Amino acid sequence: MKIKGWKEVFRFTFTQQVKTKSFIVSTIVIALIMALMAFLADFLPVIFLEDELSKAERTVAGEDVFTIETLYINNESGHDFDFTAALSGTNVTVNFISASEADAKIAAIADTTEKAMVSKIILDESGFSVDSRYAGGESGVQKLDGEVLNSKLADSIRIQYLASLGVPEDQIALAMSPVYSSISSAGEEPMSMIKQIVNTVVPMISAIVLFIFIFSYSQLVAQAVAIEKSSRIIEYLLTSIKPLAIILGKVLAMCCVSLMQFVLIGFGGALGFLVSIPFGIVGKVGTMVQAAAPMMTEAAGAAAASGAGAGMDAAVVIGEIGDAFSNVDAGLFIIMIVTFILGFLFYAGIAGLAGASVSKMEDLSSAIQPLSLIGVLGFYLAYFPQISGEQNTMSVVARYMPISSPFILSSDYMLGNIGIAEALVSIAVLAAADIAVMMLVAKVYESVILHTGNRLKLGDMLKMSK
Amino acid sequence: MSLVVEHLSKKFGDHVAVEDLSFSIENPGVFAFLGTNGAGKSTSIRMILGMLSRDSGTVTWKGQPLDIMKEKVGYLAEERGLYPKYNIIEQMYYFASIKGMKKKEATSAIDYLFSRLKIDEYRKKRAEELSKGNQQKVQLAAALLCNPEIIILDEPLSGLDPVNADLFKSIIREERDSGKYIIMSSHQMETIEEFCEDLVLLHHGKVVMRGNLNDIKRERGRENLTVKADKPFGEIAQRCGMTLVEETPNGSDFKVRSEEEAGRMLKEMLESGINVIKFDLREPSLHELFVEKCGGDVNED
Repeated sequence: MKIKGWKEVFRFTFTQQVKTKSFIVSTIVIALIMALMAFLADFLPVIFLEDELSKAERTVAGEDVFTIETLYINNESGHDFDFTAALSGTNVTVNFISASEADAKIAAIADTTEKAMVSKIILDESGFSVDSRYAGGESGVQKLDGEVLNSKLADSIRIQYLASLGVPEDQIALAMSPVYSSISSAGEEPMSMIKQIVNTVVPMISAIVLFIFIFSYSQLVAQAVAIEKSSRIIEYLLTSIKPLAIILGKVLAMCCVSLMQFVLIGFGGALGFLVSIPFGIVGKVGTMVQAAAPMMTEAAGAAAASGAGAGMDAAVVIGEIGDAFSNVDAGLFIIMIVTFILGFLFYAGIAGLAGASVSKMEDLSSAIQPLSLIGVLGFYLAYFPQISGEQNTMSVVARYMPISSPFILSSDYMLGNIGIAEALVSIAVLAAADIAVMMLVAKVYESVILHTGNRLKLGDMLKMSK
Repeated sequence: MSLVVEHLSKKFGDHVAVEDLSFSIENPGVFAFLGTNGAGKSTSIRMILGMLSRDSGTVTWKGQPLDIMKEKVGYLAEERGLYPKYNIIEQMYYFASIKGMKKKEATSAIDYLFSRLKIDEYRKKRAEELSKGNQQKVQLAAALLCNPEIIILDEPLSGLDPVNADLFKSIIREERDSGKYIIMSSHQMETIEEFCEDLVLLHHGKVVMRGNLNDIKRERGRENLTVKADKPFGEIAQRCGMTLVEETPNGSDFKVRSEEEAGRMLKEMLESGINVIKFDLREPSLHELFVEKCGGDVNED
């Protein structure tokens, strides 16, 4: 069936809508907010986790530059230790001192600018221990550096003690390497906490954002139809084009406007994120993961021993988040766009009918109440099952119901809750609902568009269209 | 015959809006489509234009069913409007585009009509910023934009000041003279008489008068008499069988049964030495015909 004139309606509606101040201002403001939020979400953790990151970065990169420049060692263990090898490549100078000198030094560095640490090595019935005090005041010494140096001293003491007992080097290396362990459930693997958080937060945010876009622009369709009716411009339009062409052009134009705004705002967020990468947590952790990869595979023990634990922890977190978004691919973007368009057509079709049922703008708010009811019901159906972060019967129902699937399908696919086959079934159900709505619109809209007077109820509209 | 409307009927539930409406417009000119408020004029026009489904009847144009998607039809609706928030020139280009006009063609038509209607200065204004009269000019321009062969004007002059009413009339005259088929609906009977030769009058959805206005008047004869004199002449009028309708400063209005009675009265007045200032025997006006056909039972809806 050829529907003449819908392209002209589309072009006019689209052009007029994107020229409105509200569209321009809201798009710019929300895109900027999204950019800022994305930037801050990536950048703020760098500020709050500065120490941990600094340590992890240095250890992973092998840059043993410490804020402690002088290490005073008081060895009371009765064994001789040489820390030259352990501290080679660092900026730390070792000075062995007596117990009394150590006590005096501790007192001296309590409030000083000297970048120093005093470490006492003791051997008692429980074994070797290293007790260190780092400089306070305005020395700028970081506690983390003290911890790393302590760790280096402890490892070196263990290695040297074993060597003194005649243990061969390869045996020492083996003894010093970490013992990796793993555990898994005999039944279904419980969801990790990170995945559970991602599975909760992502669908909820996605449902809210999609609901706002689809629903608010659907309401604009109702408003546009009601304006044409109440201003009587519809009488003129109908001398040139069929009612179906008017509603089709209008719905598709609004769909494109909302999609464009959605993409522009998303682009703002992506831009903010891209700008933040050189300074943000993702960029830093990413760099660390790359740097730590050889260590993790080739010399995991050595890396762990040298304090690469923080980098590895970050890598594990990033890995788990990555696993949570297991279906981020080209298919996802196609599903997102298709779902958005089909969801919009569904709600905008109903909105068009709501707009056509009134002949006065003041009746519009009551006319769109049924639409609001359906929309809110669909939204909650999509939103609430996500709170647990796990899949349940409600999630499955929401996925296939046309009123809720537009809000949840994309995130379900993105998080790997469903595969491509299930996504296609859900899209097919939504498309069938769209066809039904559009057929109803085509049947009813033509009959009621010239009606003036009181607001029509659905029953009245169906009766008129017979 | 060019535009033929045959047996159009429409019911809304139990209410008969239009019943068996038929008329034809054989030659270019202005055809009057009259009726009381709620008589079914707008419903009929919408059916003619195909906006509203018909229960029965046909509308043909040059022997073929009228398809307004194909034919050039200009329509100025009674309840007309513009997009209040959009600027005028963009709306005009939109209207031109849905009429299938190319941009160049549209520009030329808009330039001419805006200049003719003296609304050039409002091109970039929003519709809501224009006065009602100027909005009406824009709407007329929109109706004439595609140089339509058939023009339907529903109350084109309502709400216009005399200057703009004259401007509209001159444009309607121009369109008529250029061979357009114009259907005009109006409650301003003087305007209808000024433009129209043929008419149809609807009352409660039914045709109560149809045909050539001059023929209708001629059939009725000269039955209205206005007399003004320098002395009382009531007795003479009574004696001659005149029915007094109204006394006005312009004289006394009578209904006469025949032109002979009127002649006898004039003769008696002159013989009685009465100085006759005004003696006007004329056919019924369209206004009088309208009131006569519909006046007893007017639907004010």
